[in-house]
Amino acid sequence: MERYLNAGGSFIRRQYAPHILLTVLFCVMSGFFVSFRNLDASQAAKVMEMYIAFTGILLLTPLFMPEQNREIWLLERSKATPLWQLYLIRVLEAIVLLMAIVTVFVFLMRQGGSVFSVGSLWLGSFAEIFFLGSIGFFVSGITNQVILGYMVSVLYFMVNIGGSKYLGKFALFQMMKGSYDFAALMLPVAFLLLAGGIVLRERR
Amino acid sequence: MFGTLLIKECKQILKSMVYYIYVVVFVLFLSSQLGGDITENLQRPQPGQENYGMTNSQKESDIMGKMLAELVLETERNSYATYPMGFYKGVILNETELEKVKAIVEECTGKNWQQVTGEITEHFNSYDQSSMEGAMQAQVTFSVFPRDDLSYAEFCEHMEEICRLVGAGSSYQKEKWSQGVSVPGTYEQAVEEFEAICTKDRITGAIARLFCDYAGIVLAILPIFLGVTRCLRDKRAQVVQVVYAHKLSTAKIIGSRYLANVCMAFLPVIITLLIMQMPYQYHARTIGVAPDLLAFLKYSCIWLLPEIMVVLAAAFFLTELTENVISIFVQVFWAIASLFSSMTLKGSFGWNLIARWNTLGDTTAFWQQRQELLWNRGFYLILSLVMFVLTIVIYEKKRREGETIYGKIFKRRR
Amino acid sequence: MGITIEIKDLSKNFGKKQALKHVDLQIEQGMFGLLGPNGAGKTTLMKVLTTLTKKSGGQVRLCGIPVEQCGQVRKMIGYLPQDFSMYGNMGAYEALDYLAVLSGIEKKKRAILVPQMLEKVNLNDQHKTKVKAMSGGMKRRLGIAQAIIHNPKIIVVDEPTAGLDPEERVRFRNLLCEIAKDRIVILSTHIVGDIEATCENIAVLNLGEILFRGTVSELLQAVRGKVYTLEVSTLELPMMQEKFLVTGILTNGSTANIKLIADQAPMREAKQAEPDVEDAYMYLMNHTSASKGRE
Repeated sequence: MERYLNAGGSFIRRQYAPHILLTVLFCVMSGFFVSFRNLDASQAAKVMEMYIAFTGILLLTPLFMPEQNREIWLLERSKATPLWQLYLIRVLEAIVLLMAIVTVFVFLMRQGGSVFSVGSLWLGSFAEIFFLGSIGFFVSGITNQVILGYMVSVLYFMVNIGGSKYLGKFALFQMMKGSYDFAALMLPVAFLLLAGGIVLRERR
Repeated sequence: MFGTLLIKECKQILKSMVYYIYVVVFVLFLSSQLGGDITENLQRPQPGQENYGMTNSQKESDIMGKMLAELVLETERNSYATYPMGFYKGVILNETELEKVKAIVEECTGKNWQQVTGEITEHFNSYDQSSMEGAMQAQVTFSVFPRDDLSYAEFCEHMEEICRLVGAGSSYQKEKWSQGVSVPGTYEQAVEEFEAICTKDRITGAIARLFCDYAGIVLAILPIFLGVTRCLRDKRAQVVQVVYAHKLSTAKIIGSRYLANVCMAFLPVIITLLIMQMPYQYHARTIGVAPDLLAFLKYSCIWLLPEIMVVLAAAFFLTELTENVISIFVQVFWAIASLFSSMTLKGSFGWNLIARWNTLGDTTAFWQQRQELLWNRGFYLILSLVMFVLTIVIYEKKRREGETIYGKIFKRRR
Repeated sequence: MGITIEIKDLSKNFGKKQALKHVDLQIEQGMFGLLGPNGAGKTTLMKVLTTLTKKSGGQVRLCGIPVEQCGQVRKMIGYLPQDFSMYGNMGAYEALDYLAVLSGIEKKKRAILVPQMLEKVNLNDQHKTKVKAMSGGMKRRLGIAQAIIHNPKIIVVDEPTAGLDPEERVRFRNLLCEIAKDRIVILSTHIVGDIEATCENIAVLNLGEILFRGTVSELLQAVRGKVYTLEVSTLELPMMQEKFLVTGILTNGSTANIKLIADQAPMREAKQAEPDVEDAYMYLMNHTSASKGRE
C-alpha cells in the first residue's frame, strides 16, 4: 500500500502539479464567465457542461506524459510494479479530483439559490466530464502523443456545439436539453476507454 | 536555401498524424454544415410573398419596439443574456430587482405587467409553435409598442437603469442597439437586397462569406495543434542542440517552419472552398448572374488566412517560450471565448478572432461593415507578424544562452 | 590564420555555481582530448565553443574569430552532442540532407556530399533506415557525418563513445583520427581509454578548472616510478584500498594482484610497473582532491 501512495504522491509532485494548478486556475476564473446565482436546472447544467467540462480534458489527458519518453517507459516497465498499476493510481487521483470539482460547483450553485436536482446534476456532470476526459486519455495513451489527446478531446467538444445530433447517446450537452439518462451508458464507456487506453498502450 | 528548407518542412508536416486529423476534421465540419443546397431560397422576390426576410432598421420607433419586446420576453423568463467578459453569462434577478424591471416595463408601455404577459401569450399562441418556422416567425414578429408619449430620451434613460440592474454586457447597452435592430422587411427592401447580391456579390461572394463564417470557427482551434506539435518536435526528438549548432540563421529556421505550417494549413482550406463553391457558380448562371469566379479566393485570403496566421504565430510564440503544451489551453480558451462573445452571428466584427457572418446575403449590411472587418483582419495580420518576430527573438536567445528565463525558473535541468 | 582555438580566462556561472573557473587553453590542429569526471565542466566548455551557451567572462577565439560572432563561428564548427538524435521518422539520407540544409550547403553539393558522407561513416546501405530504428552506434555515426559534412575546421564531439559496444568504439575512434588530419577535433570523455588510443594532446578538467595540460607522455611522466604491482590476500584488500590509491584488482582465488600508486614502494614485495593513462589520471585526480582537502 505504501508504495502505491508513494508512487501517486511522487506523480502529483513531479508531473501532475502544473496540470492541477492550471485546472484550479480555470475553476477560479469561472466567476468571471458564468453565474452561479438563481439558476434553473438547464442553466446549471450549462455551467457544468460548457465550462467545467474542460477540467476533464485538463486532468485526464496528461496522465501518460512521463512515459512519452521511451527511456523512462522502458525503465519503469522493467520494475516489479506493473505499469498498469501506476496508471491506475493516476487515474484514481484524477477521478477523485474531478469528483471534488463537480461537488464544489454543485455546492456553489446550490448556495447561490439555484434550483435543480442535486443527485442527477452531479451524476450527469461527472459522467460527461469524465467521458470527455477519457477520450483524451485514450487517444494520448494509444498514440503516445499527448498533443493528439488534447486535440481529439477538444475537437469532440467543438463538434458537439454544432453537430451533436450525429453523436446520439454520446453527445455532450444533453442535460441542457433536459435529458439525464445518458450517464448509464456514458460512464461504462468512459471506464472502457480508460481500460482500453492502458491495455492497448502496453501492448505496443 | 530557405526554399529547400520550406519544402522539407512541408514534407514533414505531411508525415504527421496531427495534419491528417486537421484535414479530415476541417472537411467534415464544412461539409456537415454546408452540405445541403443553401441557395434554395435565393430567387428574385415576387410580390405577395408571405415574408421578405429580415432587415436592419435604425428607426427610433423600431428600436424601442424591438428592445422592449426583448426585455419583456427576458423578464418573463427571468433570464438575461449578458456577455460581461465575452462569454455568455445568464443573469437571473432576485425578487426586488425583478420588480424594478417590471416597473420600468410598465412605465414604458403604459400597461400593467398582467396585460403585457397576456399579450405575449396571445401573440405566441397565434403561431404554430410546434414547427420550427412558426416559432421563429413568432419570435421575429413579436414587438411591444411603447406608450405613445414615451420620448426616445426617456427610453434611453430606462435602458441605462436596466443595464445597472442586469449588469455589464447585456443587449440593453446603448452601443449595441444603436447599431440598429432586426425587423421584418418589405417587398421593396427584398428586391433591393436581391439586386445587391447579384451585382455586388455576384452570388459567389455571398456563398464565400458563409463558407468563411463556418471555416473561421474551426480554424480558430485546429492550427494550434499543428504549431504546438512542430515546436515540441525538436525537444521530443532531442535535436534541439544539433539544430542550434548549425549555421543557418534563426530567422530562416523559424521562418521556414512557420511558413510551411501556414501554407499547409491554408492549402486544404483553399481546395475545399474551391470544390464546394463550384455548384454555386452554376446556380448563379441559371439565374442570369455572371459569378465572381475568384470570390472564394479573395474571401479566404482576407478572412481566413490572417486567422490561421495569428493562431499559428501564437502557438509558435507560446510554445517556444514555455516549451510545453500550455499554448493549447490558452488558445482553446481564446477561441471559445471569441466564439461565444460574438453578440450576433452576423457582423459586429470588433476585435473578435472569429469573424461571423452566418447568413446568406445581407449584402448591403455587409458592405457597410466591410471596413470594420478589414481593420479586424489587418490587426490580426500585424499581430501575427509581431508574434512571429518575438518567436525569432526567443529562439535566438535560447540558441545563444542555452536556456530561457522561463526555463531558469521552472525547469530543473539534468 | 592557422587552425587554433585560444581560450583566455574563460568563466561560466550558472547562478551561484561556477561551472568554469578562469580556464586558459590553447588548442592546435589534431585530436585534442578533454578528460574529466562527470560534472567537471566539459560539456559547458564545449557548449561555449559551439556558441550554445554564453560565457560569463574571458575570451574565446576560434581561428582568430571571437566566439561572439555566432554566425561566423557556426560556419566552421561541427558539433556532435552527447545525446545526438534526429527526427525519428526520417531515414538516414533524409536526416543528413536536412541537417546539411541547416548548414547552408547548396543542392548540387548536397547530392554529392550526403552519399559520400554516409559511405564514410559506413551507413551507405542504410539510406532509408529510420532514425528511430537505429542502434546507438548507427546514430553516433550519423551524428559524426552531420558534424563533418560542411567540412568544418573544428569538430567538437561530446562523450562520443558512451553507449557503444567495444567493436563500435574502436571503429569510431579510428574514424575520428582519420578526420582529424587537417583540423581540430575536440573530444570530451570520462573514459580514459578513448584518450589513450587517439589523442596526443590532452587537458584534464575537474570542478571547472584545468588540472593538467600537455601531451599524454607528459601526463604519464608524472606517475612514472610510482606505480607498483603487488600480490596480497583478499582479506587485506580493504586495508590496502584505504591506505593506497588502488587502480587495478585482479583476484585469483584467495589472493589478489593489485596495482597501486604510491610515492614510495609500499612493501618490499611490491614491483614497479609501467604506468598507463588511467593510472596517471587517477593519480592526478587523487592528488588534487587531496591538496584541496588540505586547504
